[in-house]
Amino acid sequence: MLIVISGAGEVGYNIAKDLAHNYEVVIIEKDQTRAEHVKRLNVEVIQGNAANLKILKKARIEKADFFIGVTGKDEVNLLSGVAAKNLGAKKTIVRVGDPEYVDKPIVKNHVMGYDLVICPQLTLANAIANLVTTPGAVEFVSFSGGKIDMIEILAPDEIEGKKISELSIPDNVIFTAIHRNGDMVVPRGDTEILKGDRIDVLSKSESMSSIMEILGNPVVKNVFIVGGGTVGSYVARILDKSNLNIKLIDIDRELCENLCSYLNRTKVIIGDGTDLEFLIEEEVEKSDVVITTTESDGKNLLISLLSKNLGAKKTIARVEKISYAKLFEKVGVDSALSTRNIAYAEIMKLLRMMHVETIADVEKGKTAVLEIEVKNKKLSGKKIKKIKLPRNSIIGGILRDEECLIPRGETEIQLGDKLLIFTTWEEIKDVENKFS
Amino acid sequence: MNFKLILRFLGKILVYYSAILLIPALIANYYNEPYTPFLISAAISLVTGILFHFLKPESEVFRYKEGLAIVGMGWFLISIFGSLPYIMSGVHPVDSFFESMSGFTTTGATIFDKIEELPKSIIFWRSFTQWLGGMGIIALFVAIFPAMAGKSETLFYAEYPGVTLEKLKPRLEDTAMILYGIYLFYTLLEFAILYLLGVPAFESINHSFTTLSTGGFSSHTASISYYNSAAIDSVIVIFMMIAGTNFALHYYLLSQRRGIYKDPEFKAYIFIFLIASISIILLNLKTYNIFESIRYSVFQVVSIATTTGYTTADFDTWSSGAKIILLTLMFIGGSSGSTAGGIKVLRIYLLVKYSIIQILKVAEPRTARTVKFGDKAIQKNILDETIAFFILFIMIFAVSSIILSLSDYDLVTSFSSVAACLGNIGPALGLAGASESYSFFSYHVKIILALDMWIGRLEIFTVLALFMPQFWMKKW
Repeated sequence: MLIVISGAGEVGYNIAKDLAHNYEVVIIEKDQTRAEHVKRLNVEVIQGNAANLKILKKARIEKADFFIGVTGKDEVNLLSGVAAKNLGAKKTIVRVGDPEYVDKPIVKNHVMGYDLVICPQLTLANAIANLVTTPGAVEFVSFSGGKIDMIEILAPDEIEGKKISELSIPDNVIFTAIHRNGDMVVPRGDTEILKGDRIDVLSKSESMSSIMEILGNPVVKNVFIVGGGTVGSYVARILDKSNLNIKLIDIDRELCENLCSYLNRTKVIIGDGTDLEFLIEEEVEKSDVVITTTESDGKNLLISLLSKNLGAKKTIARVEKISYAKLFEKVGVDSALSTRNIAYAEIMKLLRMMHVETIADVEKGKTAVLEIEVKNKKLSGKKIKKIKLPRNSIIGGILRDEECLIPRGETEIQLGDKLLIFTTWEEIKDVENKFS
Repeated sequence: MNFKLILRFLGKILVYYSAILLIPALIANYYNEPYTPFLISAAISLVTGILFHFLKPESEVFRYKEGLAIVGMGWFLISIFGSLPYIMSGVHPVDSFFESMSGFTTTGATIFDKIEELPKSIIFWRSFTQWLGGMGIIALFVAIFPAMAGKSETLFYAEYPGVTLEKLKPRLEDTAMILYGIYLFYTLLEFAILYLLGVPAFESINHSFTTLSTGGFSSHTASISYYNSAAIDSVIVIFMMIAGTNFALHYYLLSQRRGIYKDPEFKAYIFIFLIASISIILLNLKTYNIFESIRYSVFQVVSIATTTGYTTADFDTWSSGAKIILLTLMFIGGSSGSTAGGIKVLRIYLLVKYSIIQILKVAEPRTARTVKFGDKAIQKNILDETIAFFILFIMIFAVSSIILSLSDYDLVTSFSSVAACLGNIGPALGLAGASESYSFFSYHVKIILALDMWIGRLEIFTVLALFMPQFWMKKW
């Protein structure tokens, strides 16, 4: 399989790195230094503009199975995407930052011929909104087209030291994994919950609220959003429909007046989020969630920490550089989400779309969660303990018809079951082969 | 809303205020009148102030909201406490509140039918409340007590009459000090001139207090016509004109920094006087000879346009043409930054210019134009605020007039008394006309009119903000 990637920024680089082991990868990059940098991966590098037909032909685009446009320029991505498609690339994926070009986070089968257009900013906004509406959650993933949700929560104080069997967990809710000190623990009835555990909870969407009550997570009422750009305004637009009290802060008066025209519940405030006095005057200490969405990582970190210091309960920060996300969470930001990481995850999902329904990245690239349908007839009727999985993979849940089943050693797998498998990015290929 | 912080600030104001209440007590003592009403009022104000002061606010956050609430509620409280001396002298509480509000807001509408029968200390208190309200109570505290100055910016402008275009001094305390200095200077000057013209000292003080504040309370039921002297009339006309001019201009004039004749607002102010005076002089030629017509017409035009409200003639008997001109003047009012009320000449000036631009825009849509004040382009937000002010002024006027006419008062009385109270003028037409008082109105109407005075003096926004639910909501 030949994959042509345009743009060797953080997203392009990481995709290339993951794919280079198994596939033939060609990278088109305009910038000399980046081109040099990406050469160390096991890939072919062509220096030039991807919207140039000669360059595309040089990258053997007519034979390519995938064309991925992830340069920093929307126009280059869009133009090279059309060119690639017309020159014969089987599937084209492009990233677009400006929501003028796409109005949804992800557009499939775009009229201009792209198979997938991703707006990471809007996807990020969606992810943030999900985190806000699911109190206590630090991660949120939907499976089976929204029927099943998985959230990752920080173990609240109330259940600390308790055994899982002592919690009255309702039907259709599964504790799939516990992340403890960087390791993944498979929860069993006698597993004790410790301080600092991050628990992955799988549940039908409608049962999510009942599990929240058991875990005693706080109710979110006041949301404070800093930055009225693409991400901030989209988050506000989603949350505007709920019954939350939202304050949206931006320094640009014209932008704010514009935002007012379509936000009804949201109070749009003109001001500088890095001004301590301003934050105090706007009572940031009473906020349940502070979301920082400015373009600058530095500002986002600063505002998150300032608000936390003033008494804000939870902070969600937007990060540009993927590598900063962990750093942010180390110094006290509750959730750090990166647009680039999201673009990367979305593209990786599509590349594997033939076998896998959903793929999600948890614990910042350490663990991947796959939703995979059992198509291998040999596996039908087999007990779980008899199925040999790669070393770092476990079956976290079984979705059968409308039910959520807890996988036990004796559970028999049927054809058509959807399995949620916790694994690492390296082992995905093996897992796929096993079930399909 | 940081309610406890507001109350603590108000407490501070009430403590200072109790000292002010001691001044009429001294007057009462001098004239051998009962001084207990003032002492008790001062004590109540002091105790309340101290009680408020003990409140511990959760936070020291002081925003625009808190500033507006302090000024809006501050004026209300001061009027309530200012009515205590009247109540203790046997006046009905609603009447007392009306009289006190009419004093502090420099309206000059009175519920006393026979002023001469009142104790001298009460007469003094009426005039003194006007003098305090004229330049602003908060401004006084800002000028005298630096402790207030930390957060004074919002407080000062919430009370300041008219559109603020420039600051006299970088520090607000200094600006307040200068304004009060000029105010005091003219008050003393008028007192001296009136005294030299043979007006008794006590009456001179009262009249200079109420002229410079454009208040209009007089120590005589018959107002200025009591003296029946052309000389006194003209002195008062000049001082009313001074009080209705922007005090910043006086500062420039006195410090010889620049002439005031170039100021567009001042020119418009003089222009309005000339047009109105000439029209009324001509209309009054039917009843008066030329000399009398000039004397009475000019006095009445100046008195109404500066929102003072003194009378030398019963203008209620004048022709409808003259009355409608006076009613229009009530709406226009004096200059911005003066002690006068009404919509203010500057606002009218900007609104007229803005409307003309809108007309021209229809004819020549491609030509760019801005509203200019002298050689300065006026920012859009000032225009927005001015337009909103005008609309709210008219709406409040309409609603209050409807309530009055529903209470069975005739059209002229309803319209003119609301205009006279909202614009802080004083005497109206009809039943509340020049030779009458407001005592006949029923109590609920008096309360409505007193609220109109409050709204008018604080330039609408400050008071109306208090009635916005968002302003008080605990909601974040």
